[in-house]
Amino acid sequence: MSDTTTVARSGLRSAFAGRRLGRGPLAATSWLVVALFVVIAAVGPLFVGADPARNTNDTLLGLGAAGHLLGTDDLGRDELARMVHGARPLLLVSFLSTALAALLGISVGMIAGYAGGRVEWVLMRLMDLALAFPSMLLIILIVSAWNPGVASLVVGIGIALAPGLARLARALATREAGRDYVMAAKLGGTRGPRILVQEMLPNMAGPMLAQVVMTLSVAAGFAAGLSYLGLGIQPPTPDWGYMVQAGQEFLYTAPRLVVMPAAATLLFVVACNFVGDDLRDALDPRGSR
Amino acid sequence: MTTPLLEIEKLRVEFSGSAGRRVRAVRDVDLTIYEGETLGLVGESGCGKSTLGRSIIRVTEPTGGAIRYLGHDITRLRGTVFRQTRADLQMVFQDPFGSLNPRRTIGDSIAEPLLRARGATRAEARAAVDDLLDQVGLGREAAGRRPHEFSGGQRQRIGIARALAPSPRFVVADEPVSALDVSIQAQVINLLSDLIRDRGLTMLFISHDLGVVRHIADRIAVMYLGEIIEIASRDDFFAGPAHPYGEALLSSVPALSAAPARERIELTGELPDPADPPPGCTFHTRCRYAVDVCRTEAPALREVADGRQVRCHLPLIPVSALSTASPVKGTS
Repeated sequence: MSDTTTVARSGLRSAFAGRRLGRGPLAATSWLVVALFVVIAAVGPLFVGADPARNTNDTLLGLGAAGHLLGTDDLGRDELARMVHGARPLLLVSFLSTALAALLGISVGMIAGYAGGRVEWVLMRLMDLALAFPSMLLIILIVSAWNPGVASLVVGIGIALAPGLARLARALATREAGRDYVMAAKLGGTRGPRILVQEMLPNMAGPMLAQVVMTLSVAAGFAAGLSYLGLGIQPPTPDWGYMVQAGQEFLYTAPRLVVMPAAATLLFVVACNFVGDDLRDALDPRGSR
Repeated sequence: MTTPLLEIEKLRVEFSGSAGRRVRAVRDVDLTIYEGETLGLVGESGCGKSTLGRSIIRVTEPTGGAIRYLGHDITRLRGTVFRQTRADLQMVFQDPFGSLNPRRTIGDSIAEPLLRARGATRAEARAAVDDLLDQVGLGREAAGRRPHEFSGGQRQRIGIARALAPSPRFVVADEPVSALDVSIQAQVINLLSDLIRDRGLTMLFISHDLGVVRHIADRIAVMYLGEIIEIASRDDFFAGPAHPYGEALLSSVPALSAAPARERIELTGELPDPADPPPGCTFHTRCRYAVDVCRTEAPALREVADGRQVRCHLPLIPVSALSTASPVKGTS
């Protein structure tokens, strides 16, 4: 097992060879923003003393109020704590659903591309079928068939985003499967699954990774949208999407209750998108740099 | 050189082309490859020689016919038995750049068949890799490096080491030197000759370069449009091909000055479309000896002299008494 991971890692390293990530202010800022959000979601709650779910009588305090840097909401809960804790559901759902989509999509696509023939036809028509549904509808269907929460969101978004990755994986796998080194591995008695993981996957890793990161920003968009619709994590656990929805009532009296979680969500989605762009540019051998 | 190692019977490979066209790349080929021999398979680009070589070891699955290895039909073997049996049959690829996984070390690539088909332990495989790298003249320190650190000729040596790793009995060498510089070609050919001799390998050596084939092959098979049209010992073939196509091929080899200039026969026209081969003898469209019967009746591959078969109505060598027998296959 350990030699397989070494291979994958070195595969990526040579895919990046000679090209740099984070060139230019936009790309560099985007990487920083994504990293910052990850850090906030991971360890931020440890540094915020206030309980984001504790109601107080100090309702709707403004920015900079004593003890409440970002004020409080309509139930007197500390807004800073809610913002910091609220990053968790979004990032958790985004990353996990992207991981699920990658696992599903890359497996299906690679098997289809390697096997060819009838197997390929059936698998790819299944993917077409999933793509024929509007993604949002498909996710809502899956989530509401289950009970709303992180698990159902991850599964719903993961399934909805898998077909796009499967298409790319199939195209790349078809190309690699026709290469002589794959023939040589077959001649050496290597079984199919091992050929896929050990021989082919490292050679597809570059373009695949860029596409997976682009998928991350789409997943973040869906996660935010669904929690706004109340299909995400359930109150009182703070969540940006739900905070936007709850804050709408006070849009004119306390716009920050909507603006802050909305801006944070937007910033994350956009940053993910630019990070994906940057990865794609860095990995594209035809890139101008 | 009398025990058949591989007997190929009516082997056929078809590809479905665009708009439902069926391209018959290999058309009912009968061929016997004897233990210990090197059979040179020659023909121009697109004649199906690579496809034939690949289908014999089932890298390309044949659409029809049978392949017998040491008397056992391996055409429809599957699963573990197939993987382990087939490891006896290996291949050296034409393109030294595409045949090695760029992400794996040389040592890992060469060890793979030992681990997967021969049940070697990691330590055994490592020792075998070191030996193989020494044998192909690269040195064992190459094991930890990756393909991009090597030149084309070195990579071809690595490809040869990998093909030899599972101790195969039969190796298909598909134009193993045509991608290399002329100065490197001789080294690789000599390496192959040495390995054939030392290991008693049987080899199908595919090439369009008659000069190279003459150096390494014991017997020659000539292919045209998916069919074998002549089989002869090397000396017989180079003394005078029996098929007009073989004659044209041979006349295209540039002669060195001392030899009397041969008449140069230029083939006119293109290789016919393999999806729509001409009726009669497939070569009649380009044959300078063609007569009426060639345009209507397809000749069979028949034995015209001892160990010599030709698919022609009017072979260029005197037909011996043997020839009264109609189509013969696999005799030697």
